[in-house]
Amino acid sequence: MLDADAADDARTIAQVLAGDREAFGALVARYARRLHDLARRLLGDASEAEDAVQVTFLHAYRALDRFDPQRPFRHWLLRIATNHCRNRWAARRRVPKPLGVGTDDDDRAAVPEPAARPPAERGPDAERERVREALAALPETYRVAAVLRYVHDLELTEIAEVTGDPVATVKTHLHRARAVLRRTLEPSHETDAGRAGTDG
Amino acid sequence: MAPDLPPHDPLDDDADRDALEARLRAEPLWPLPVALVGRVTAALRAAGPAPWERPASEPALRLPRALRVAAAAVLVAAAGATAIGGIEPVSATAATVASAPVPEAVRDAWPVPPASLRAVSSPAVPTARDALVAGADAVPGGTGSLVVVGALALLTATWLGARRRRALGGR
Repeated sequence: MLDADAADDARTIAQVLAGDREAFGALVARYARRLHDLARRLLGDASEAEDAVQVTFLHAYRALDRFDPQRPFRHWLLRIATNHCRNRWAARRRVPKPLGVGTDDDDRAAVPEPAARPPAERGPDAERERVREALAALPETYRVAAVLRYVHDLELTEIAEVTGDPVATVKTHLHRARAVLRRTLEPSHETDAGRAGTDG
Repeated sequence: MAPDLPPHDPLDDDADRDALEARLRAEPLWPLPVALVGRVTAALRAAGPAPWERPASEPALRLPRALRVAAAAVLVAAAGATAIGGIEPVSATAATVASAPVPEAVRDAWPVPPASLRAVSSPAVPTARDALVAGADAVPGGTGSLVVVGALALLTATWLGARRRRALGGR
């Protein structure tokens, strides 16, 4: 994030805290897309992602007086959104699944295996689609680290700040995420799966 | 928390890593649903005032339940001690006043109370209060210990009530 944005955020927050509630709209407009992207990737569901964005901004507004202006507002929002998504995962795990439906890895199985479809069906955006699906298929903790690092371009310390994990843990999660992604996205895997799809 | 990795991991130190990261970094953000910003803004407008927006004059005394119960018990004990302690000097003063010699002129000017009232208020006849005070004095520690026991009983009853409510799922 640019320093200019941070300064702008600080001004806007001061304005809101001074009683101008409408000024918060500028922050919503600035960060809604990033929050939506994070929630969409972590929750894997469009409607839940929209709810998550709304909940995140409402929560941020209610707790705005507790925001530390020395830290980036963007990271604070990402942290609230990440915690909300973790709560949603926990809530999903508490809901009993019907017999014979779903597995322990349901949250990653929500998106089909990236290369499970034949190349012909993937269309011109196949590469983008494959990467998106491979990220979605990561286990939750690895997915958080990978999405924040590669899609949202955060440094390790910033990811640690967002997730509340030590930097060493973030490194480990990223390393494991890369290992899974490499296996999922490697050409041989793609070719085999593509051939299997064509044969079938 | 996941265990730390060794500082140098050959599996993660190849050209593949750069290629993989480049592929991941090329991933664009999901497009923002058109109506989402409007919906969030509307929800913010509809939401009640945030805690920091409420006027400072609004009462905001929030004590834990245990503290509230303790405060109530202290108040009850203080009230009990004041009531019991207050009876003694008042009755002593009344007895002093009653036994003091009254000037003739004043005594003649006062209306004479009926005989029944005089009989009841006579210090020579023991009243129900006298019996109560005598009973309290017989307890080890006197009236003070009764006040303390009463406060403890109130605390225990409140605590048991709170536990029961919690067990039933109430707040």
